[in-house]
Amino acid sequence: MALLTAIILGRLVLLQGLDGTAYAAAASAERLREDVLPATRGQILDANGNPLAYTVSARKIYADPFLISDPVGAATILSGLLTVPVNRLVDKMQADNRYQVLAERLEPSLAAQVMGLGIAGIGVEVQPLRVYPAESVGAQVVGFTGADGSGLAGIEQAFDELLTGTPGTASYEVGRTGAVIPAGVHADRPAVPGGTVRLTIDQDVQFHLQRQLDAQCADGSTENAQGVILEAHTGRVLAMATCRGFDPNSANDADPDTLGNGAISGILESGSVAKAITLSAAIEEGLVTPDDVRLTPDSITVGNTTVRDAHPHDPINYTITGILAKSSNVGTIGIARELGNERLEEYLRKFGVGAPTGIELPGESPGILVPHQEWSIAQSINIPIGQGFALTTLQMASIYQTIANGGVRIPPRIVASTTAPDGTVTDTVQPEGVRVISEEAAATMAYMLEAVVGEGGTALNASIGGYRVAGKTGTAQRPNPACRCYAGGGFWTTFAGFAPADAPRYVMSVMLQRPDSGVPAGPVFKNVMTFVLAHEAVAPTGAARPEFILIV
Amino acid sequence: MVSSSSASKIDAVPSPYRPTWTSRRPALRLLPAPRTTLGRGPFIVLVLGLLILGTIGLLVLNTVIAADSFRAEQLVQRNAELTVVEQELRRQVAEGLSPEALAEAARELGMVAAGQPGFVVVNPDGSIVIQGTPVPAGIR
Repeated sequence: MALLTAIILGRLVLLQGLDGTAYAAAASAERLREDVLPATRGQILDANGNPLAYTVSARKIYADPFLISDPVGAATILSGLLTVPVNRLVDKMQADNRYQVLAERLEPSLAAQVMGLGIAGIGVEVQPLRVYPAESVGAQVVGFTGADGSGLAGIEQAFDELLTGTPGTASYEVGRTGAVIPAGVHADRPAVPGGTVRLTIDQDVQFHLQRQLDAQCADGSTENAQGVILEAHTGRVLAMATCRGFDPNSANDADPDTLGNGAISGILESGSVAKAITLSAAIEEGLVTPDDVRLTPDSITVGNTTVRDAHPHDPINYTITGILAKSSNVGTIGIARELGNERLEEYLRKFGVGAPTGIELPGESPGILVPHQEWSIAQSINIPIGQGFALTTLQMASIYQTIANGGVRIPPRIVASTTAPDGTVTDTVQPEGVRVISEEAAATMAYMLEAVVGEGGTALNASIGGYRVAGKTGTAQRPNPACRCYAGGGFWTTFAGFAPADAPRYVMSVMLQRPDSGVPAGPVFKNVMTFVLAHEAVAPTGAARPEFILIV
Repeated sequence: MVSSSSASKIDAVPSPYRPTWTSRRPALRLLPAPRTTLGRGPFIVLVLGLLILGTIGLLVLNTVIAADSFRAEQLVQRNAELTVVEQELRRQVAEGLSPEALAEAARELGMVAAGQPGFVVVNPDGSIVIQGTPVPAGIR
């Protein structure tokens, strides 16, 4: 009797005291269910808070072929609702596995309608869906997400971690049938939705820019067109685009060549637009003043390389302003030879050539600029006129931003602020400016660049009625990737400038890539800049355009 | 019953050891025990009553919890439905606000893009200057 009691008591102690927790855990594990609560991906907004990307909850309809008794009948009923051809649905419903997705990205109401039919073997799943309401507007900047919801390009990629958020869990007890036990344990760890990224892009300006660039590329011969608009005093990107964009709502179906952001990843030779760097350097170094005169022939030969001006002419007494306004290659090379290769390279680098700007976007190209020690004679006379080194359309805008901003280059930024999941807003700190040239030299350059746009200059087509505009045209031969030579490579025509010239607000660079050099980029600048000035309510300063002495 | 019969039994049999001095004091005798209990019947009724009340209480409580859980489920469902509606409305607003949709809607209404604006600048003395050359809409 005592022995029996001892055995029973011992077993009791063993069960309750020692193994008890393990059994209890096993029992509750049997009852406890845990669901993952997906975190909603954060939004991407334009400067004014308009959504460029956000996430909604969509539905996915799937079939379990093993449970479908009448594939043809089911497919016939579903085909119309799901807008999928009957034969494709039948194929899927007869597949040799137990999970076939019939349709994705469906409105929840449509999915409810399908489930209301009560067809055995048809199921529904919740699926997060990224929506880009502005479609192609700003798509190259915003980027897109992959099937797993992670960012694959643009801001979506660069800020993936912030946008993703943290998934939560819901734990609850269920009975044998799977029904929730009301009085059971409930423990929810709510999902933390992703943060928000607000860009400096204005979607209206972005739309207008894209439409103008697309119109250029629609002419049948223009292969590429790019444009970047910056705020003159902050370096903020107002708009940035490459023609023929894509709709990020269906990035899978888009031509892969259109998915990139050419304005930061592609490089070009800017041509005469870069003469602004050569002249800025010469003015800053005190080598020239605007009214200095240089007797300029129409060609210059150094070693066995000859560079000519665009049009033949007898030697002319150009002022320095005249050399820029008439875009004389020979005159510019003459000034560059006074400057020397070393100092020219130094200024090119200070203006940002050859180094990434550090903009918050993936895939930025630094451009190509070899050290001056390695320059050939041909390079040393071509670099001052914008051939023989390469930059991005964004860098091209940044050079003119420097001049517009009194000689201080502010590395461009495209994110205005980020909002963490807890609501803390972090404004992007404006990067420290780089003093490239003095304020006086910048003012002198702005004055000289104004001579280019308007009567007597090469860019009459970029002038905007009522406003004073400063800028510079360019044309560069494009290397032919096939032969590593210039023959057959086509041309880049470029324009970079800012307005108003006497109180700069906005800077813009444009690039057109064409088989010929016949279409200037100036009119694109004029069209888009006119829109920007009106859109941002920039009044003309009212001051008259100065008289320029170009030839004496 | 038991107590009263035993008391009379004790009373009936005189003790052979009764001391003599006890005669001056009143004789001790057992009184019938007071009827403190109501008997078994009421007790059982009480217990049964409590049991029934408890059961009913438990039932009510369970029903309330279950009803609440149904209500919670309904509210969750309603919430989900409203989320869907909200999502759809949001989508409509966002799509309507997109520049492409606005441009298209404006074009359908026969609107054209505004021309270059003129600016009226009011000087401190009240005189005005018009800056810029206003261009009528539709002319570029």
